[in-house]
Amino acid sequence: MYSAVLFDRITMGFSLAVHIFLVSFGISLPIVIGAAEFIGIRYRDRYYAVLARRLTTALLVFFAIGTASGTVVALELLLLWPKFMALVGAVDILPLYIEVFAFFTEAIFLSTYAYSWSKIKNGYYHFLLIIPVILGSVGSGILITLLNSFMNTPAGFNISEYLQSGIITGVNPIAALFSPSAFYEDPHAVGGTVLAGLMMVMGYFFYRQHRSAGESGIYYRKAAKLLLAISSVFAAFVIYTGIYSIEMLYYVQPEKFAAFEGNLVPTAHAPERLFGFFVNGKWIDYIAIPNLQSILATGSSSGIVPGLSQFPAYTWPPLIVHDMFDAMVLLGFLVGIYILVTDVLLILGRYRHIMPSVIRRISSIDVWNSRLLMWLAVLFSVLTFILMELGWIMEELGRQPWIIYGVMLVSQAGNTSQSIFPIMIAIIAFYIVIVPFTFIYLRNHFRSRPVEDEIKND
Amino acid sequence: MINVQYMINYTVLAAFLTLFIAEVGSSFVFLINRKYYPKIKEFITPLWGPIGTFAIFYAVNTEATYPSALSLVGTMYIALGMTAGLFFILRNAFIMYSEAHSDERMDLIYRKLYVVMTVVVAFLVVTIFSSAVSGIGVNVSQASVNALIAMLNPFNVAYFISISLIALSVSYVQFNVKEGGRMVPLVSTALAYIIIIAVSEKYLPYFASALATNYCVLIISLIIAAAGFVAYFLGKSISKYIMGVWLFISIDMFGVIQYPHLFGTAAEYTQFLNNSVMALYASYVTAIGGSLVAFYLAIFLYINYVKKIS
Repeated sequence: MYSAVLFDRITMGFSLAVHIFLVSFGISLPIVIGAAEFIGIRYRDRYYAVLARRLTTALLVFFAIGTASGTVVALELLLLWPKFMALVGAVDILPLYIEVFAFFTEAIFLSTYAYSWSKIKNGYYHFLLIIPVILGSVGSGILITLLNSFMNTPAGFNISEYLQSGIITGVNPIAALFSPSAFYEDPHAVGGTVLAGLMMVMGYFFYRQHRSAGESGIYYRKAAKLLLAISSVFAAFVIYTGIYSIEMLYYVQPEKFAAFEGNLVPTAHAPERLFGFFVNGKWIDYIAIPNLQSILATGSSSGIVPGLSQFPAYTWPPLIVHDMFDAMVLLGFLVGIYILVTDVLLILGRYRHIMPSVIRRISSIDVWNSRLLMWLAVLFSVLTFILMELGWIMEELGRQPWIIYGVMLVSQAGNTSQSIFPIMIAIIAFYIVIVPFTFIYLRNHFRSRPVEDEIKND
Repeated sequence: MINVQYMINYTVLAAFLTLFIAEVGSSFVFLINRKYYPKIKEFITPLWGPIGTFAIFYAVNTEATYPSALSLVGTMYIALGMTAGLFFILRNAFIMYSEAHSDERMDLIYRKLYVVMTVVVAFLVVTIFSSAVSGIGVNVSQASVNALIAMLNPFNVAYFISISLIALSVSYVQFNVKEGGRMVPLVSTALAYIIIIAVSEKYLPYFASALATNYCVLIISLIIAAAGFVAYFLGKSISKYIMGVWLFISIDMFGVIQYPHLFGTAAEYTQFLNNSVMALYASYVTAIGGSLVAFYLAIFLYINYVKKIS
C-alpha cells in the first residue's frame, strides 16, 4: 500500500510546474502583442504588425493548452485536496471566484481580438481589444497568487476556534482575500512569471535574429529589441519586489525566513550564509558575509534575526530551501546583470559618436551580431525559466509541512483515495507528450508560414 | 421555496451546458456531413475558449456554494473528474492545432480528433451529472463511485442518448442541416423528451413525481421548443436563438424539478450550503462579475457573429 497523499503531492506539483510554465507565456505574450500592435499602427511599421499577428497565434496555442492545464489544476485542487478546498470554500473562495471573471475577460476578448483582424478597420480599435486580455491574464495571476498568500498567512476566520473545534466561525472574506503576505508575495510572483515568459520568448528571437538575414533578420531584431525593452522594465520591478519580499518575510513569516536563511537559532550580528550543507545538525562548507543578514533584515548589524529553534521541530521546512533560496537570489542577480549590460551596450552603441574614446571601444560591441550575447540570451532564457520554477518550489517547500500555515497539514488535507496512482501516471505521461508536441507544432506552423511572406502580404 | 444559492449555481451550470451541448451538436453535424464545416468553424472558433471558461465558472461557483460537499465530491469523483480534465486538454489542443493549421488535410485530421475528444468529455460530464442526480453507482456513506456502473448503467446511457439527440436537434436548426429531412430535429427532440421522462419514471421516482406536481415547468419547456420549431419550419433565422433559449431554460427547469435532492434521495443540496457571510460576498461577485460577462458577451457576439468582414 502506498501513501496516497504522496501521490497527491507529486501529481499537484507536476501539474503546477507545467501550468506555471505555460502560463508564463499566456501572461507575457499579451503585453508584447499589445506593444507590437501599437508600435505597428503608430509608426506604420509592418514588422511590428506581423509580430503582433504571429505572436497572437502562439498565444492562442498557449492559451488553449494553458487554460486546459489550469482547468486540470482547478480540478486537482478540488479532487486531490478536498479538505483544503472545503476550508477555502468557506473562508477564502473569493480569489478563485473573482479569478473566474478575470479569466472570462481574457478568454472572451482574446477570442474577439484574435479573430477580428479583418473585421475592425481602425487599428486602434482593434488594439483596444488586447487591453482587457492583458488585464484579464495579469489579473488572473494576481488573484490566484492571493490564494497562495492565504495559505502562507491565513486570515479572515477564527483560527484558534477552528483548531479547537474544527468549526469555521468569524469569517471575514475581505481579510482572507488580502492576507498579510499578499502585498509582497503577489507583485513579486506575478512580475516574475511575466519576466520568465518575456525572457524565454526573447531568447528565441535573439537566436533567430542571429541566424536570419534580409526581411526576416530585421523582423527578428525588432522583436528582440521590443522584448528586451519590456523585459528590462519587468526585471527592475522583479528585483525591487524580490528585495521587498525578503524584508517582509522577516516580519510576517519568520519561520520561513529562518529556513530560507538557514538560521537555526535567533542571532544578532547574523552573517549572510551563502549555500552550504546541513550535516549533523549544523551548516558546513558555506560562505559567510559577516553581519550582512542582520543589516539587510533589520537595518542594523546588531539586529536579531529569527531562528528555527523558536518553532517546534515538526513544523520546520526541509532545509534544502536555504540552498534553493541562495540559488534563486544568485540566478536573479545574474539575470539582472545580463539585462543591464545588454541595455547599456545598446545605449552606448546608439550614442557612441558622442562618447569618450574609452567608452567608444566598449560600445563597439554590436549586441545584434555578437555570438556571445546571443548565446547568453538563450542561456538566460532557460535560466529565467528555472528561476521561476525554483521560486515556486521554494515558496511551497518553505511552508511545509503545512498546506495552510499553522492551520492544516498537507497530510490532513489530501485525498486518500487509492485511485490516485493511475491518475498521477496518466497526468505526467500526458504532459510529457502534449507540451513538447505543442512546441513542435508551433515550430512547424511558423516554418510553413515564412516571415518574409507575411511581411510582403501585410 | 427553492434556495437562491442553489438556483444561481444551477443557472451557471445551465449556461455552461447550453453552450457545451451546442458545441457537441456541432461536432455531430461535422460527423454527418463535412460540407457544414465552414459554418461550424465560424461558430465554434471564437466560442471554444469561453465554453471552457464557463466550465471553470461552474466548478468555482460550486466550491463557493457547497464547500462542505467538496470533501465528499472530491473523493468520489476523482477518477471521472480527472479523466474528463485530461480529455478536456486534448479537446483544447486539437481544436487549436486545427485552427492554426493552414494545411487542409491536417486541419481535418485535428478537427476529427477534437470532435472525438469533445464527445468523450461530454459523456464523462453527463456521467458525473447523471450520477449526482440519480445516485446510481454512488455510495455516499463510503464516499465512493463505481465509475463503470456510473458510466454504463441504463439511466446514464439513456440520459446521454437523450442529451445527444437534443444537441443534434439544436445544431440541425442552427446550421440548417438538410440531411434526413427537416423533421429530424423535431423527431430528435420528441424522442429526447420521451426518453428522459421514461427513464426518470423508472429510475428516479422522486423526479417523476416532482415533474407531475410541477407540470407547468414541462409545459414552459414544450412551449418554447414549439416556438423554436415553428420559426424553424417557417425558415426564420431567429429559430436558432429560440432553440438556445429553450435549451438554457429547460436545463434550468430541470434544476427546479431536481431540488433539493442529490445522489437520488441520499442527500440534499441544502445541507452543504456555505455560511451566510461568504454566500453574501459570493453573491456580490456573481452579480458584478455576471453583469461584466454579459457586457463582454454582447461585444463578443457583435464582433464575432454580427459584424461582417470589412
